[in-house]
Amino acid sequence: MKLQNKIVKIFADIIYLFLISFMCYTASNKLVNIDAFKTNLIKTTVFSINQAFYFSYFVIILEVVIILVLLFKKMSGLIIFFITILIFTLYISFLRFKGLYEVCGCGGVLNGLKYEYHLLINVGLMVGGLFCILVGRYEE
Amino acid sequence: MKNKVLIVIATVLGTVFIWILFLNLFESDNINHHYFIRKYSNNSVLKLDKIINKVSNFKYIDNISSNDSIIELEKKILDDNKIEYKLYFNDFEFKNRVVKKVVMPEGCNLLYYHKNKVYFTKSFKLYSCDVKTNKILNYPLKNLKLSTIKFLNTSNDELILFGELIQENKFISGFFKLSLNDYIITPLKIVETNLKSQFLANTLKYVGEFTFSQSDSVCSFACDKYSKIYFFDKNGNYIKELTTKDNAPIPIILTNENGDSFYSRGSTWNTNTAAFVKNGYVYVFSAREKSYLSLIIDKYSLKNLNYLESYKIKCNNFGSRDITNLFINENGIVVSFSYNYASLKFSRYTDDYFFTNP
Repeated sequence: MKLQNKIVKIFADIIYLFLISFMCYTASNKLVNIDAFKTNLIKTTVFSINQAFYFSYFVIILEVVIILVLLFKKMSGLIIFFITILIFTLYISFLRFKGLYEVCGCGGVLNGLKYEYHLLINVGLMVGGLFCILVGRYEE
Repeated sequence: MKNKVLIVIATVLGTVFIWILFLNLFESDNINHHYFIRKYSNNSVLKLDKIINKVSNFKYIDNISSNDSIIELEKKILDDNKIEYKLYFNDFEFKNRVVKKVVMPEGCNLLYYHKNKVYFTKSFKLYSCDVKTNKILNYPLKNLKLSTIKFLNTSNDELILFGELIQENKFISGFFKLSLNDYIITPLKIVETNLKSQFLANTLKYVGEFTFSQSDSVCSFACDKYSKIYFFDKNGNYIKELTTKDNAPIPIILTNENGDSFYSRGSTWNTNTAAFVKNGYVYVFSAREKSYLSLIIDKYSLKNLNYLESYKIKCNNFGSRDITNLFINENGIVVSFSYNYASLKFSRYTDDYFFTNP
């Protein structure tokens, strides 16, 4: 039983590290290609030029904050991460519903992703986050 | 107290999950894909002859329009920032291939090949480059910006174009006839008049290609992102316009803070990737069909512009939306895709015009 718990904990730690690297990757890509990110937001017609300008920086700052909280306050970070991905999934689902989703504009290898794959990745991230939260709670 | 908080959190999360599920299972009633019910006929106007691989590996804008050849384009950046274009000339049977080279400055937009000259724009100005001598000629057209051109049949110096003319402080967008002899610009069909230049936006809105039909002496211009096809006679005079049955609206163009223009999502549709006229009928390759894996051709009467019927042609899983260019001669057409050509021959059914004038 102890070995099983250890394996689950190691697995949860790997997922936790993956979530941090994932957030670092998307945040840095958005920052490097900030113009492409803004253009993607404008293209959806949900945001005006001004709104896209502020929202793009808000998203990047939010991602950096999540990374920092994940690093220094693991449980709180995981909960914020889970809620953020949930809201983000709601946003892309709304775009699909309205016929405004074309390809993913998250940055890096995710750019150009079809909706089905994007949704799958988001669900995977939420399941991963939830798994880490549950393992953490169990440990506490 | 703790239980109450948990119940509130669970309710909020549950509601969000239900919303996500709803948004993924259904689609807004306001979305119009601009598909329409087609009457398919088995007597297709075209029969697939063969599929040929392209020579060039140049992925984008890999064909250049011409009155009489199928020309592929390959580009190589030279050391002195000049660009060497290799032009592969094919006949309609793909039996003879001629290769010509031309060196041009950076940032050129190649528009057309005609009588040993490549016509191109650079910073909105029109130039030609002689393929034999590599001599570049600038045309002094201060008030005209052009995006698509086609030389009028057999003419050496008269061309039909889509562009923007500045006249009396107004920016007039539309189709014009231009004589390269005396630089006389004749408006043929004006689509918009603005107080500020809308050249980039209108180039995106009215992106398309001219096709001249020898059999009917009609030049058609099919818009890629709008359901309009404009018709001109052999002298370039405007005849009429057809709104195809998909009725896709003119795209909305957005601009970012750098001034770059692009199509908005949800209101831009690929419509008619190519069109040609044959024996009094207009044949349109339509992208507004759910099926991606066949070429869809809609037939309209040129006389009364009514929709008549459609054809579905199997072509190695290529769809109408994959078409990048169309070339036509008296025996058939050639359509180009990213890495291939499909040669299609006219079947005998196209002759029915002589029995049933539309």
